[in-house]
Amino acid sequence: MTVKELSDRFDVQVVAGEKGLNRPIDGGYCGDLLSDVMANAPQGCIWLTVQGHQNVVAIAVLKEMAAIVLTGGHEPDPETVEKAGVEGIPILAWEGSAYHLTGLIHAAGVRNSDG
Amino acid sequence: MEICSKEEVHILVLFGELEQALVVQQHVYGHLPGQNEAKVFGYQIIADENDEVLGESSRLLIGATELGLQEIVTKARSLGGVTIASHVDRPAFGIIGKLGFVPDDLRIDGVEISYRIPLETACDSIPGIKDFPCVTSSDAHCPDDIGRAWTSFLLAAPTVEEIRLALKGEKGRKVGI
Repeated sequence: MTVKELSDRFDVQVVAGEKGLNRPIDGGYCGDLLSDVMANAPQGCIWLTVQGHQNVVAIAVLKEMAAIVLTGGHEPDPETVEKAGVEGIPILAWEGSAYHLTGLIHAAGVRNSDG
Repeated sequence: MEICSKEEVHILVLFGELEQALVVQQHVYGHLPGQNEAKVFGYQIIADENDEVLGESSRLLIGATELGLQEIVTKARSLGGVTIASHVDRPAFGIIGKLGFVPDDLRIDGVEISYRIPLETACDSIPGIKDFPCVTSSDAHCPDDIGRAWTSFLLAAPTVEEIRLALKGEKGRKVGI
């Protein structure tokens, strides 16, 4: 599944980084402690977080992530939107909980190597 | 004053004048949602210099502000304050644990190590802080904790401006004697 397909299928709004919408999603990760995400998120994953600080984009670039989803109605900082545009990392917005969206993505068949 | 940013990073802001701190306090109070639940978070007693109880704060002082880290640092600097990222060795509420690294454009004056690890080895054991002046202090949230860690400064006078010079290592001032 690509980021665009996920966005269309589950009605997740795209708020930045549109040029990366064709990236394939190779797994998933949830976390708001960025040091943990940097250490443990799988390469190419989609990342669900409430953290809108600009550092999320740097970590997504480092991990070659497919996209970042800000859950629970959290919004990215203006610098985050700008950096996501430059790097081509899509940022999506989901009003509901990370738990709900994670369930939908997992049920759609997006898995990590450990499940 | 120690402020919790909306990213849930703690940052120390030091001012030489009470008026500067009061301006920031008003700004913080304007962006600090919630009411304290004394049974859950404890009583927030306001006491005078003789420990006489004057009242109780109903604000949710344990909570995070709605202010971004960058906004807090910019505001403190504009008022002449010194900003130090608190307890950067801690996974929660420390800038490294919370944000992974210190953003390039964040103009903090230094970083603080908690009492848990020695200052001498901190730069080697915590990734991403070696370019910042480093201090240690007690992070005291109750009287018994005061003084459990401390940093010496070589200063011409006990002022915030002198501390800023010491953190920069300028004009013969320095951290650690």
